[in-house]
Amino acid sequence: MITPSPAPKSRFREKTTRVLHELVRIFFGNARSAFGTSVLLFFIAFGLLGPFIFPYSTEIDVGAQLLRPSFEHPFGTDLWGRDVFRQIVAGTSDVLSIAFLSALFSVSIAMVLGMLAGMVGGIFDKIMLFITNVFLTIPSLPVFLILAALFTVDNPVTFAMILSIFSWAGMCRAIRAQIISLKERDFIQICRVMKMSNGHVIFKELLPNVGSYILINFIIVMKNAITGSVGLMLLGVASFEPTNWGAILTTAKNNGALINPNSYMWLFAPILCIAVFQLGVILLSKGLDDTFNPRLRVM
Amino acid sequence: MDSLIELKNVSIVYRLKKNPIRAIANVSLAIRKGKITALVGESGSGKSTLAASLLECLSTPGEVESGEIVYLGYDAPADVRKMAIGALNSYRWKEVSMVFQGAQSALNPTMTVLEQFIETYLVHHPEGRKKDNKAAAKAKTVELLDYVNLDAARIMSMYPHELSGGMKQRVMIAFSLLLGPKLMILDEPTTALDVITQGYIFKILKRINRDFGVSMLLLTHDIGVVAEFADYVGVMYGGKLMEFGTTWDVFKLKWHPYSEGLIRSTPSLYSDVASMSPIPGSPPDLRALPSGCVFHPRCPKATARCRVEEPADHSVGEHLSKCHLMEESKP
Amino acid sequence: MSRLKYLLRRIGMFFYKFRFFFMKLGIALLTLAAVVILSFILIVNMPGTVIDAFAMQLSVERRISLEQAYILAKQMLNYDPDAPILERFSVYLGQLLQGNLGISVKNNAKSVNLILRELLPRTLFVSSIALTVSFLFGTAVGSRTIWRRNSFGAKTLDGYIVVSNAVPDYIVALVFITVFAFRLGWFPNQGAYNALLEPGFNIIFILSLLYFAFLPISAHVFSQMSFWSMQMQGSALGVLGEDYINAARARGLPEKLIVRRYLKRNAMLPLVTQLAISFGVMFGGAPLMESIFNYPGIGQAFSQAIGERDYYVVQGILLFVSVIVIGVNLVADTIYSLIDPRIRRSA
Repeated sequence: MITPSPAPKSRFREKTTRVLHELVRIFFGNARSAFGTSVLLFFIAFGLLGPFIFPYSTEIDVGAQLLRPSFEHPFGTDLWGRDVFRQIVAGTSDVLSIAFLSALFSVSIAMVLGMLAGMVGGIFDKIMLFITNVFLTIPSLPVFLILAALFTVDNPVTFAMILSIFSWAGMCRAIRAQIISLKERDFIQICRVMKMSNGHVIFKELLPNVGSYILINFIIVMKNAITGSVGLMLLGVASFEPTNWGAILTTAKNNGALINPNSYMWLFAPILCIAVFQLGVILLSKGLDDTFNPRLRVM
Repeated sequence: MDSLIELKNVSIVYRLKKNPIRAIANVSLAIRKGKITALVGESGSGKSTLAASLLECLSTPGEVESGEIVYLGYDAPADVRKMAIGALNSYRWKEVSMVFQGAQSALNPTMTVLEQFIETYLVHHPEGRKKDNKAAAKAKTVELLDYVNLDAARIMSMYPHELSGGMKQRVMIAFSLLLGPKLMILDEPTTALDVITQGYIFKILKRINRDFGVSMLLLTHDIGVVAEFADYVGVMYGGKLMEFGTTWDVFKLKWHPYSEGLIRSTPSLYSDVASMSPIPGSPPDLRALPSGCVFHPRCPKATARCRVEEPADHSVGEHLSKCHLMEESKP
Repeated sequence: MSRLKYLLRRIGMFFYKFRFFFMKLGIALLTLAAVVILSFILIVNMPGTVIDAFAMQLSVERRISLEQAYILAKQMLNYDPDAPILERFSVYLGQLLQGNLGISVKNNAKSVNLILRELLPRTLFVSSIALTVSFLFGTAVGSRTIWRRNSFGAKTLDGYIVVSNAVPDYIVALVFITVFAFRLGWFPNQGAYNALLEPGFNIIFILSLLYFAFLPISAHVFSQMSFWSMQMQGSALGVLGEDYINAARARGLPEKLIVRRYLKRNAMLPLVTQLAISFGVMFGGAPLMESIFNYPGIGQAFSQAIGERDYYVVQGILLFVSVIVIGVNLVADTIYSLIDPRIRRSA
């Protein structure tokens, strides 16, 4: 009996549920990923909704200088009487966007160049190898500093672009290596024999195999972007949004927070948030690594 | 009959995160002194696991769930499972040694052949002057390498990656003789090698058995090798011992349908290829073993009883078969 | 005629035999060229006001006219903003090849070479001790978490490794200096040694050096250790799965021996290249860490120069560090192929 194929609407629903199931499995599959994803989601929610629930004004309130943490000011106040907690909430979206954009840039560049180098080969490949080698060898921090000083950093996009300059090289190499090894494998040869289009080969066969690597590295680049951005801010070469956590940290440090016990919370609040965020990101990357590269797990 | 090692109702489990896998279920086996015992079976039948358990060397998630592994080479019988770590380390290699499957990576890549021989020798000879022991070890190494027809002077100072597959295998055989063991376990010693080297290696092994009286446990899936080489043969399937006996008995009488199937599926130089009949189906999934007799889904002689009840071990003298059909026809 | 041919063939064979090395050398040189070009771009982008300000400073100090000062400034900097770009580049190249890295505009025309010579030992003092200690401890911790993975000790250490990897190094530095220097006053919060002391090889001076360097070194070790632990974990995990570990057990070798000679030795091999690279990076100091601790080293000089827009110091340090890093990478690559027996003897 030939049964009619299901109506397109329910097929779409099927596919969506399948995709959702996959996503849940990937991101919540094991303890580490679940924790990491939760932290990430928490901060995302914080960043999006926070400013509406806890609006922040830049008013200076000299009377409320450097208050100890209380219910009204969970993280105390800074030198100008402004609530630290609300500053952090306001800055969350900045931090997230820098991290995300930086990872996006790095991964995109690495993916495109890496796949091209792997697939096209020849002289283009050799040139790519050289360029990535240059980027991998040159010490990154000095160049960061120079770039940050040359190009005024006043928005997340510029910042992210600068930060991603060095992260793409390593990934590009790895993707290229993967592509090259995949190219020779049987199932790609079969595709060629069956005369499947290049697009099909790229998207349906090669990409899923490097996909896990890309995902894990996306997360890692995010972590490095945060570390790098705060570092640059501490050095004073980049600071645009005063509510960015790194900026709060820098301002605190530059205004004697290291010495004055009253301002410890001002200093440690951004530190705490950065550390928790990083921890979540690292755990997520480790969890994803476990999911995609299972090793023999003993009881 | 004089036994060297006896396994009594041994069960071995691999405790994986999701489902534990029982690699060996309730196997009892005796390895005769001075003889060559072969264990045949398809991949996953549990041969390597069984061999590793004799040295208490199961890879990590594996553990012996129950049973006894009794070594009879000492004055008093000793259960390998209950040995303290000191006694165990002394027992390993000195009483029982093993040539691993694919000896490709059984050697430390950062040490030369000689260094590794000496290391093992020194560990097992803690008394006396180190210098003397080292000299003794070196002499023994040269002697053994010569015995397996290798150029001792050259091979000794080489690193593992510089040796070819056949050479590495011979080095491992020499290595396993270093402390003069009573039992040598050979896990698929020639599977990765070509037929000519294979024959060569077996010649050497036969010579060892003859000259030194070393008992051998040979694990293989190659029936031809068994027929030519082994004194006793055990047939394993799905983690259970299906048949055991002298090579002659098992090959001639073929009591268990699985053994029969194995022997019939081997191509012969004489008869027609058409008379070769492989066993239909594929080896069982150890996570979901069939009920009753493990072999029943593929057995041409299976009855309703085979589907439900696991057969007991029926033996006549040394010859054992785990099959219901034994009850009907007792030769 | 045939003698010449023979000679040429021998030379050719020499190059062929070491072709991998020469290729790497070539790439290293090209990378260096890229860095030189980068620093030249930096110089070229220097706004004209820098020279003007320098000239003004000179004219005041030396009581000469502004035009004379300007000419003097250009001479001292070895840079003429009005000359065509190629000429500027060749002059710059010539200066570099002579080993001259330029002068500091903000710091009384002090030679950059001199600055490097003064500050480098201090940075190296801290970095080398930190690197050695963090490598030794890190690899030990890393391998401990892999062998006997399910023991309580291993699990705790593993947790610690993850957390300490998450915390960036400057945060560790900030916490350290706040708690131990400012709050508890146990350690000084700036400087490399007691200013009252005379530098020399006497024990008091060395002790003072160590005292001032203790906090920066500890912060470095604290955060770098986590990196080495993770690297070792990855490598050791791979080694654990190899057959020779189990084969060693089968030979009755005691556990401690296996961990030492089979696990650690094989797991450390890939880490050695990483170690060499870290060694090279060491020379750049860590601008952020040094500035937090107010430790006068190359890193701090670098970030200060950037803040003050002292272009020559910036490009001088950049070039110096790059040369070191590129050179060290080259050496590391070569050494690794020598120490890994697997690579060493393969044709």
